[in-house]
Amino acid sequence: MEQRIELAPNCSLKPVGALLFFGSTCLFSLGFALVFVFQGLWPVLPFWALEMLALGLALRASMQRGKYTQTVLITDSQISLVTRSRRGAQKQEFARHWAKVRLRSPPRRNGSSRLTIETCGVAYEVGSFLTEEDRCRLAERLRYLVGGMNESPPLEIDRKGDRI
Amino acid sequence: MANAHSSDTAHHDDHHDEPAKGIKRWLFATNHKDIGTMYLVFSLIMFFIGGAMAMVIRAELFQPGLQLVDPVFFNQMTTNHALIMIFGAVMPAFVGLANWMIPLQIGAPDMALPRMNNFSFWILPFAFTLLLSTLFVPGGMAAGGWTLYPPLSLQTGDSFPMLIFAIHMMGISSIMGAINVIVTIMNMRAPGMNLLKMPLFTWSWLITAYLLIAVMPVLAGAVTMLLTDHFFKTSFFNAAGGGDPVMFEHIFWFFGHPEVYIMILPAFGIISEILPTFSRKPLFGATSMIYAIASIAFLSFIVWGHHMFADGMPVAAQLFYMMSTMLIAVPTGVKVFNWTATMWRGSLSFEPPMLFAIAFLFLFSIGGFSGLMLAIVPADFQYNQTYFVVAHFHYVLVPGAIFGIMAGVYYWLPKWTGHMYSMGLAKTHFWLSAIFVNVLFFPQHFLGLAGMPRRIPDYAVQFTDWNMVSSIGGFAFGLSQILFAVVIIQCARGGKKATAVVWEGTHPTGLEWTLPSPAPYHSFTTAPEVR
Repeated sequence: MEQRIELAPNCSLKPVGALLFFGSTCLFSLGFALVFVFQGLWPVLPFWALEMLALGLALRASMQRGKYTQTVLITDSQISLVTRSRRGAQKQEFARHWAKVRLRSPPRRNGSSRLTIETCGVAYEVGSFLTEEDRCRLAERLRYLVGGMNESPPLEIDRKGDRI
Repeated sequence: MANAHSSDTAHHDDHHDEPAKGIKRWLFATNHKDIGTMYLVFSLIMFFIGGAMAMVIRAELFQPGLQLVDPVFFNQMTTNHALIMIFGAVMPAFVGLANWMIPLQIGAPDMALPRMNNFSFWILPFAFTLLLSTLFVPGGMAAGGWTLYPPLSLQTGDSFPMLIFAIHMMGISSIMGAINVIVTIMNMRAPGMNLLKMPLFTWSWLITAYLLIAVMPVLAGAVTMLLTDHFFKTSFFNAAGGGDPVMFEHIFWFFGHPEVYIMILPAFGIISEILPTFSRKPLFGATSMIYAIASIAFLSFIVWGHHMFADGMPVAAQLFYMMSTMLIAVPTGVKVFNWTATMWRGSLSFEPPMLFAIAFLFLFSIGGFSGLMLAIVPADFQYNQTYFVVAHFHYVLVPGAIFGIMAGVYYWLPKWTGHMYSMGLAKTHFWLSAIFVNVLFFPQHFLGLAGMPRRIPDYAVQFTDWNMVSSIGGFAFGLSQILFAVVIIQCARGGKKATAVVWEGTHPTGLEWTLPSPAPYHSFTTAPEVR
């Protein structure tokens, strides 16, 4: 038996939508720029190119945040944490029996809490991109599944539903 | 295998934890509320600086003859009053409102690119310091009008490259702001918030950002060509070298006319939020309002020639620009009709935002109608370069754009500060503003129709009476704006606690009203579900 938790930030724009949006914006504004270029006012074109580059980079940066995802896979004996970002995927595995879940309070007022799975003196952060409320709910669920140090509660299917 | 999906509705919010202390909070601000506040404060300061320049203009025009300033300084004031009010007061105010309200309205925790947001704000103080510092260089400030028409603008003294650089910086700031707005709206809407469910203010800003993206490279190209004509002996606009000065007018107004809509569309959005709240009715024809804004934005690209009728152009072109300009009255009429229908049989109450919104509706329509008069080619030949034009665009921009901003500030201020402001003071501010804005600008219609030219420090004696009335209105309007600053400062410092809904007894729509007042530093700790 295993439990899988997928964590991902919200993105209302899909990659295809972003591409279509960027392409149509480029064409739309290029049309205007070309009118002036054909009149001999070519300096409009480099400014158009710079602006579209800025828009493209901004869209890319925003879309790449959506690529930062985490998967927590909990089996009877193991916990594996896969963190995917634009730099690729990183996988950590550790024994469930010696792991514990810790939610550290925000160090300052209005700060963000930190949720970690800790084992053998090493802490792995989970859900750093989540909102405060979601992180608390995730901590509760992970505690239920992982248990404290030196204990391995049975992995039962959550009958309340699979959303945390 | 059980599959537990967690929080696919969450955002990054780990890039800014809490407000830093002191100056660092503002220098390194990435929170949309802090940056929005900075934009609004900056625009208020610029409003008073640009207003002070207007007072110089009105003081000089109080009587015929030269009283207070020399003609060159007078021209410097008219030029820089326009540049400061457009790029320093109105546009940053709308960007400030966008920063504050768009994330709240779409259920996002912040703007999409917070660091770029910080950068786009902090360019502005440098740009305007540079612009204002031209007062102290040999030759003084630019004096050829905000339109920078060559060859006159090329005769500007040492301040010319500083002016061009300042305009470039303002443009960069505007583009970064527009990109941030677009990416935020496209990628950070709460689950269920599809485009047609977006509030009108957010919609109006999405379209405005598109306009900015389309026209800013044209302005940047135009002023760069002026620079190269001045310093590198190119001849883009130099007739002696084979260039065409009229082409500058085309390129400038291709930017300039959409710029007018950049300054008014967000105000349309604000008014569309306020009228339903204080009429206690849903907005009449909300979807048609979106299409109307989009139509106005599209038409704004094809009407620029109406600024240049008197330059001389083929009759076919005159007819095209006349008809296309008049066509704008259709979507604008849809909006005015919808706003009126929203109030029709509504349970109206007259809090300060509503008062400003109603004044906007009446007075912007006056500016719109005089715009229609100016669109008629033969009539424009008479009105061109007269005070009638000055009256027209000031009716559009002051009781239009600026009243829209004031309405928005009075509407959302309790949400920002957590306190109610003094209704008495705010209403006094409204009545003084609404009365004196008409005393200031309405007589300018008469002056223009009687033939008084614009951009002159002296005039024939028959124009004296209405100029005196206009100047008295100007001083009173200017002084009454001090009340606006007083209301804001008082409200920021304290006052009766505002509830989450703020306007009790009304039913404002929009996600911002689901947050407590003041809105917490991190807007939505949970992405709201929109049904």
